[in-house]
Amino acid sequence: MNLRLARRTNRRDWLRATGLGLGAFSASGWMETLSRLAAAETSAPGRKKRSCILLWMAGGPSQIETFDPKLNHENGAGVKPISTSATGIQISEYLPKLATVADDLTIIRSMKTNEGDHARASYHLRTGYKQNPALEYPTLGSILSRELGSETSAIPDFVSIAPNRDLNRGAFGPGFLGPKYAPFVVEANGGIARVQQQNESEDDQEQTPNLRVSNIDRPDDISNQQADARLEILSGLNDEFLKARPDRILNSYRSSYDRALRLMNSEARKAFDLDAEPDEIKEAYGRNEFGMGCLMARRLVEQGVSFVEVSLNGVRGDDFATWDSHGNHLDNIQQLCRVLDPAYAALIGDLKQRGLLESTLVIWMGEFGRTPKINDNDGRDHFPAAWSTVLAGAGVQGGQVVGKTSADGMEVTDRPVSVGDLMSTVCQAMQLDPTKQNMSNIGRPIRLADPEGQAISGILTDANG
Amino acid sequence: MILIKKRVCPAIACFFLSATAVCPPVWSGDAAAEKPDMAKNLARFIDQQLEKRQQLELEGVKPANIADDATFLRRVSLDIAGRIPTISEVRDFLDDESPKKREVAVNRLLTSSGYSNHFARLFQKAFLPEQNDQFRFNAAYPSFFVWLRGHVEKNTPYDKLAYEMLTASTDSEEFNQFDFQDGPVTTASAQAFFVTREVDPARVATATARSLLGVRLDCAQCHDDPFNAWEQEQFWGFAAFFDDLDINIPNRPPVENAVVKGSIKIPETSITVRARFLNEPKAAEPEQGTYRQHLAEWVTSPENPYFAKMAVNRIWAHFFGYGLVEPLDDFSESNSPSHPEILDRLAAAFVESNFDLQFLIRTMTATKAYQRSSRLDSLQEIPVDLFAKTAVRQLSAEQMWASLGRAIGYARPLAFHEANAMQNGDVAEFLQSFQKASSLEDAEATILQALRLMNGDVTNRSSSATGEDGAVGGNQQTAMAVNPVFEPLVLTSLATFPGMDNKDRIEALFLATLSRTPTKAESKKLTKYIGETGDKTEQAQRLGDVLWALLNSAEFRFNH
Repeated sequence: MNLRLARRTNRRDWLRATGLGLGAFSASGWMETLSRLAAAETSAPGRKKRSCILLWMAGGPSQIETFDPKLNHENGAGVKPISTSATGIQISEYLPKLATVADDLTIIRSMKTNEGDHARASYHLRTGYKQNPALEYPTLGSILSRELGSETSAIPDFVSIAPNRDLNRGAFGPGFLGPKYAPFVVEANGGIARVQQQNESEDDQEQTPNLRVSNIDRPDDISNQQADARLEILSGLNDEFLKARPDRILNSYRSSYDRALRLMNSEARKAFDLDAEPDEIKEAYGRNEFGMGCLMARRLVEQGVSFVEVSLNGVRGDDFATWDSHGNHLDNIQQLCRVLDPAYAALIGDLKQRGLLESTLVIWMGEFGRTPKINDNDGRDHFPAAWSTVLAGAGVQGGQVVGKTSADGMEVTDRPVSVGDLMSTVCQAMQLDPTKQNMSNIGRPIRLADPEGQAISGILTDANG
Repeated sequence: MILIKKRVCPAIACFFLSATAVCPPVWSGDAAAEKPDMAKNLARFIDQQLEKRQQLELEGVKPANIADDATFLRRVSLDIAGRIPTISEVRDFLDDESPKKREVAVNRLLTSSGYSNHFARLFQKAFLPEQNDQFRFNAAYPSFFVWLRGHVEKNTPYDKLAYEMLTASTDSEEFNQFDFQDGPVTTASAQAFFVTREVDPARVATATARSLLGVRLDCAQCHDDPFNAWEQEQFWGFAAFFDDLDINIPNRPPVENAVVKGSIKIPETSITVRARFLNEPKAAEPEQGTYRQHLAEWVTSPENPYFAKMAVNRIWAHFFGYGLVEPLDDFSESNSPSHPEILDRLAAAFVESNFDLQFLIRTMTATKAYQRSSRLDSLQEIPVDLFAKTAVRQLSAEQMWASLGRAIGYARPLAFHEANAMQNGDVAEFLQSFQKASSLEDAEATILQALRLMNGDVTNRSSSATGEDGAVGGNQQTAMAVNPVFEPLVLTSLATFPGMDNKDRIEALFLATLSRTPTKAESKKLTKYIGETGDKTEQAQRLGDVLWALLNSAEFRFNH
């Protein structure tokens, strides 16, 4: 039973036992701690726990043009399947590089959900629960980083690259877990990857897109000496104030400054600096926001970050293309796949080469798929009834397909997978018990994954390990 | 016909029986003059009750002393008007020798625009806790805020406010005319209470029970709730009152369980139940008016003890940081109040005062308990629900923004759409990163907040001094061009104001940020730091360093 449950059982007794001061402290040592932290270099953390990278395809990517091509049916829109490194598995011709690493992928072709609205479906897929006005469910990154993160890591445990949160902010936040588990956001054009336009020479383009980490650097015009003086004044002010006040929130305040300073001064923060990567690696991922986001995700996982998400919801080149392809479908999808394919394939290959794939789960998903039947605008609409997601790494046996859709793609014919099933599987791959409970904002315990779900059997090599 | 279950759970049976404590006489015009006395007497009663318990349980530890004037003014300004006091407000208050000055300050703050904004936000968070969810409802929030603010300004009796909300029109034409986020919002409407819940009777019913009565029906929506003894049929009976919700909003999901004339079908069953109040075995039959009006009367009735208690507890938690019942909107039997006698008495007085919110505020701020220091002589741990010291509390994002504005000399009021926290941009980002946890126990100060205050624009531009000729550095120039909020107004004027010495400047910075004068030791140390250099530009920059440290200090960051 965790502490919060204990509190619930006998709330007032528990409060009495712990009082206000969950851990009194000696205020006088704070400045020392600060300077030590500022100087100290955090050693590279040992990689014991698992990490997760979520490639979030906002808008709802088409399953037929990606992982579930339909060769002999008009719904297939003439898109050809190609063979892959996994025997017997074919994916769409738009993903040629990914085809070379398919032996590391488990393709789930039988996602069956029931929400066709972007906002509500995003919420469902990103939190594992349907939206409920009384309960603020945490997003997957908050759930997993809370379980897997460490109080002492230099880099925040949950990093979100290029999110576009406008559609449903609740789907991107820490919910009832509280602001401590909120994502550390790297801004990168709101999930829109900018690619070269035809009439644009390479020189016109920015060499590497700017992935912006807010406020991690001291402003340029503040010297070291001045920064030290500032911290010393701050410390003097705080010592007096903190020493006579045992309130818990003040411990949290102190630790937030400790961790922020540690991050600012750490070697680990170089994970955010892509300049250190050789050109050929950058080329392999693709010099656009999504490619560079995937590269940053790999660098962060190398530093032991528990959860990184990278969003791709559109591409801006000669045109603007999005996954939400209600019209002009094939053109939209081709443009997106040209960004997705190299980045995703490079990420898998790179993780594998560095020995990180076995401890890192890579999830590819959006909020739903698209209608198999092409509409009157040459587009595909929202379709939750039969669509695809993909898992790789962290003990997920590659080179296999879960489930099946009918020849016209209209329905799941084998092994339907619900959101709860998917989330349970993710938890198991992260070596977490999906039935573990956290206390919610309404005092009701909530499991990591919806208990109605069941982990997909037979795809994890070390289930419950 | 509906079946009435034989078993009546104790929680329901006593739902109204416990109302005996609340006997509302009509509040006459003459009696209104006695309100200040009533507030004082009640404050005394509260202190007696609290102290009785403290003596029993504190085992020799003394409650905190009464806070000094500066601390009181800062706290009460944050709690009532949502921002710290200005330098001149602090100076005037410290100079005032009247024994009634704390009471006078409370009354002054209650007439400020800060009060109506701050309390409108308090109620908006109470009635629309899921506020920053979905883009398509953006337009509904500002109108709701304007509606609330108007009522706070007029001090509308709380029962009238709640009645108006529950019986608000759900006409879709009205919704479609709502202002969008650019430009001033003029529509005042409570529609958001229904619209943001997709006018779904079940969701509206849950929100009504929880926000106005402290009754959590959430679990009973899908099954009988074993912890709170609410049965599924009771839930749906309650939802059936919302039988006239009719609005066309974009992308509304189909509501399977349409309500017809006070009855509703429980989804995925063949059971239809009729509208019935939570504590009543019999179906409700409004003699006149709609089912919804009938419900609103029942909810806001002086005989409904939960209505007044829930409101009292919400205001208490606002001023003390921790409810008499906590979580503050969970009045289930298993969650008993820490001081039932105080809750009962306050609720009765609230009803008697004709649901006067300002009366509650005057009462609570007049207690010794509210006026105690957050400091203890020792680091002794004491339970928060004894109210023996003031709890250190997080500032809400809006309090933080408004207070920073005052401290750095640029009080930029928040537009409605910014308060809505659904937007992009610097201000919205700032607000989002300072979102406050819903309870003291869940409160956390985050790394992102620390990074933002240490390295972000607001603190750095405001503490970055200009040169002697008034020219600003390159970095700062760009920032100011982008956002004039961050001009170092306080700092520049302090550094160049004639007739001030460094000691005066330090004092002014302390008053501007911490709302107090520096201690002798602080003054000496910091004056020395500034005076160590003879260079005027360097001195101004060192003054900026002090401002930076003050804005990052725990004393500035929290309400204490």
